[in-house]
Amino acid sequence: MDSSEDKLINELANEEYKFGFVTDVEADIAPKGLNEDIIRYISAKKEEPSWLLEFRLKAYRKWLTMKEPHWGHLDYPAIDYQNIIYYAAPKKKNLANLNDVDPELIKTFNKLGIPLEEQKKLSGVAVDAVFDSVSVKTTFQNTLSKHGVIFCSFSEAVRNYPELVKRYLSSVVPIGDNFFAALNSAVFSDGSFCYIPKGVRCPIELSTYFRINAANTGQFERTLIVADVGSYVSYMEGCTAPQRDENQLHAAIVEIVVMKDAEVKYSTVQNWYPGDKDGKGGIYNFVTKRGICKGNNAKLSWTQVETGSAKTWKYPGCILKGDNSVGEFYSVAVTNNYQQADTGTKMIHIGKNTKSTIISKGISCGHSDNSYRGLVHIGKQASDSRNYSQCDSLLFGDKCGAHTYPNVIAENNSSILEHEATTSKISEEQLFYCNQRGISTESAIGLIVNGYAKEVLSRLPMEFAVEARKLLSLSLEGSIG
Amino acid sequence: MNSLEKSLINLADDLIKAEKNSSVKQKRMEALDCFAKQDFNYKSDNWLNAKIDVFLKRQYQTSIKEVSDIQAFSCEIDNIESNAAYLVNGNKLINNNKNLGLQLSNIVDVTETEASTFAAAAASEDDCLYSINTAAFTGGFFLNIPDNTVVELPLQLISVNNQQEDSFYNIRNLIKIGDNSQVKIIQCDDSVVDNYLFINNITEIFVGKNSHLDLYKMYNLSNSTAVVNSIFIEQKANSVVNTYNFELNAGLLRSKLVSKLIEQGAESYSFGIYLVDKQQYMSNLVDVEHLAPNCKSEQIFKGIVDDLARAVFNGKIVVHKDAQKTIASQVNRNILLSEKAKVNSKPYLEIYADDVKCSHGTTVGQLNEEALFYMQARGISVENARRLLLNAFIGEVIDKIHIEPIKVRMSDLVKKRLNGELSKCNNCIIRCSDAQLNDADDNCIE
Repeated sequence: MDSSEDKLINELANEEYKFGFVTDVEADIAPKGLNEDIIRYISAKKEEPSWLLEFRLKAYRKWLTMKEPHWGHLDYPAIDYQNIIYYAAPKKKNLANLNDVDPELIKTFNKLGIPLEEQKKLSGVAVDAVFDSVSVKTTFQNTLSKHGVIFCSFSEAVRNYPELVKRYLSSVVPIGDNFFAALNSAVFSDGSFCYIPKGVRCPIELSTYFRINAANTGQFERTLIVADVGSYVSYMEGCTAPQRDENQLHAAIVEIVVMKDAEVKYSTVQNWYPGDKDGKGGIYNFVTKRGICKGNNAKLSWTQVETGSAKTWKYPGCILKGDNSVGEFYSVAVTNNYQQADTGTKMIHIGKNTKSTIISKGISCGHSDNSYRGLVHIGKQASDSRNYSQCDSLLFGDKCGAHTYPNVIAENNSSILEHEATTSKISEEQLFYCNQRGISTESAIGLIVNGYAKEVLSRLPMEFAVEARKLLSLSLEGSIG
Repeated sequence: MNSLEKSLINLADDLIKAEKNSSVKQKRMEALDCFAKQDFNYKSDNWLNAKIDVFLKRQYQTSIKEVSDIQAFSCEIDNIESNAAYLVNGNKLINNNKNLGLQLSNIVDVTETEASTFAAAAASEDDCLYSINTAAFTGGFFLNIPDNTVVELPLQLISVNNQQEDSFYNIRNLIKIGDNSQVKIIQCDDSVVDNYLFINNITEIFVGKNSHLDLYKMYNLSNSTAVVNSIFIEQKANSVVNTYNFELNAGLLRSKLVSKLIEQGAESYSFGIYLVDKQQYMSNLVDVEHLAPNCKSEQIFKGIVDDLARAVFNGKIVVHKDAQKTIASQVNRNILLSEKAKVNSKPYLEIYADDVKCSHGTTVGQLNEEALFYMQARGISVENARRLLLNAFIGEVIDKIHIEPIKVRMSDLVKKRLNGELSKCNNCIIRCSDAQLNDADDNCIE
């Protein structure tokens, strides 16, 4: 290994997290620990109807019977679920306009590059910002309501559209789906709800921003998106957390229902605090994301750029139930220092003539481990279905790991399924070629990495693509022009 | 605890008492302790709902029976020049070969020093069939090839069953190959009678520096036979091992291959085909561990799955920290012929070194429509076009065989197998070289 590569690896290893500040906001905090009383407390705080409390309690009882999954390629000390604060909320509530929002909060979101006010005016992106466990402000309500689009915090949705929430809540991720989903169903505090009516093409891109602020808290938000017949929406999600020495748990659920002829595009730029360079602190990001293409010709596309979190356990999936429905998964995952990511997707083909595409690009640096884990299941009824998967891994340095765990099940004879994967480091020849043409090793690596991830980055909406590139260059600073 | 489990434990107890070799005795005892803690119902993930329970719930006799002689056993492969040794009913070794220049004996008769590597290659396996094999093996081949020896003729190691009762066998083989040696081994399990059989076979192979091993394993068994076959190979510097797995028929079959490349420059190549139909179940597990730099490994496994059958491929390549400059690839291709056939493929890569070139690929699909159309447009019937394409699909693996008679035999068996019913032979476009084959009875028992 030559010295410039060494230098680069050192730089990568020393790169600091830029969103690690803490905001001093007055907060309502529940006592530590988890029991039925805490769940009742959360439910009461949020003035929830009794059916939702029942839902929570059912999930909690189910959770008690479940075991934490350990099949992921992740290594972390046991989580003490009684040592977590399950509810923390900024104190001021019921905001009619932006002036009522705590100025500290506004400052925070400005620092994060999500100026609520400005964004509302300039970028034409509706933002729902979730601070700790509570949705603080949703912008652009008026424009959206003109088109009949519902985009609000989850608690508002429970108050204003209980029928819709009742019908779709946990219809994609059942409460007992997995350990973390059950936990979320029991204690989820807020999140976003989005409903696109029949035939409506959502005029602006919707966006949620999550931020964990309070110490010792877990964040359990819940997102529910319903795209009715023939509608379209592009939805974006971003997240950050302050820099702390202890680990914090984030166990969210995202459920997406895509009806006939509808299309949903869900993009994530995940940048939770990844821990310091010795692997101290950071967020445990144990998330369940799943969507169902319920009707014929529905389309669901997941795009994710994963740069943060100490541990990631996340498999956005598509259930392709409707005939001719399409599922897509595009992912770039970067791990550095002692980060560990076990991420991938599940494509369940049920309807006829369904198609899925999986493109996953992993980049491992430092002492990190980066795993792709995926399932493609083509069921008996899913005749003439098609899957294409490609999972590539790039390694920087000899102390990191890159792993690929694909699972492929085919149960009929008219479908075609392909999976391919490669793992390598940047080839000497490519570098030599660039050097020969006067490009320094550092910029050459940047060029190559950029090209490597381009297939996925180009799928992101404009606003996010800029942020994702920035993040990628942050994670690989000095290498990307 | 079911009766089979009980009788296996009793057998192990007897064998431990009788064992004269103290290190082996120790290993047997440890394995029996381990077995007692494991779940014999077998719900391990690697099996993926295998119908192994059906076989494990049967009544088998496990005790050692005296063997008089093997009744007319003839090898399936014609015209093969080889030296054959037989293991009858899992305990009696028959070896009529002289002057082979190597040591071939029954594993239960080996001395303490000879058995020094016993259970060394497979020590960490968490598998109840593995522990019961170590605890209760009744016999097996012990092969010791000294340094600088080239064994010219292929060596056939055949285990034969001729008992009328349903039987459960634990067979254990140990093969040591010295430095700079060469050998070709053909391994088969066979039966001259038709009853229920469960064969639990483990082979440990240690390959010395610069040595070369070709290992052929063939399964053409009746539908009442379950085979669990595990091969553990440890390779030293610059050794080359080729393994060939031909899975044509069996009631239930799991073939496991674990290769450890422990020194620089070792190369491991494995090739496999599986033709699964009716209600058969076949699974292939391939683990390759790159523990040293500059090693190479390659796997090509191809399968055709028909009727209600199920095929499983679990591959795993692990490249450890120091194994720089590794080149590894793994390919699994499947053709599904019926609506109810199932394939499950898991090609895993685990990589901890950065200067590597690793890849894997898996496909599940059907015959190429365009190719079928092209052939039909040129006057070849659909059936024959299919046969040709399937034959070509499998041919890639058959072509890798280095021993001519095996190549011919395998190619014929595959053709015959692909034809399915014998009545179709008359109009078949593929000419089998063996005329007798066309008259022979189909091997499958319904």
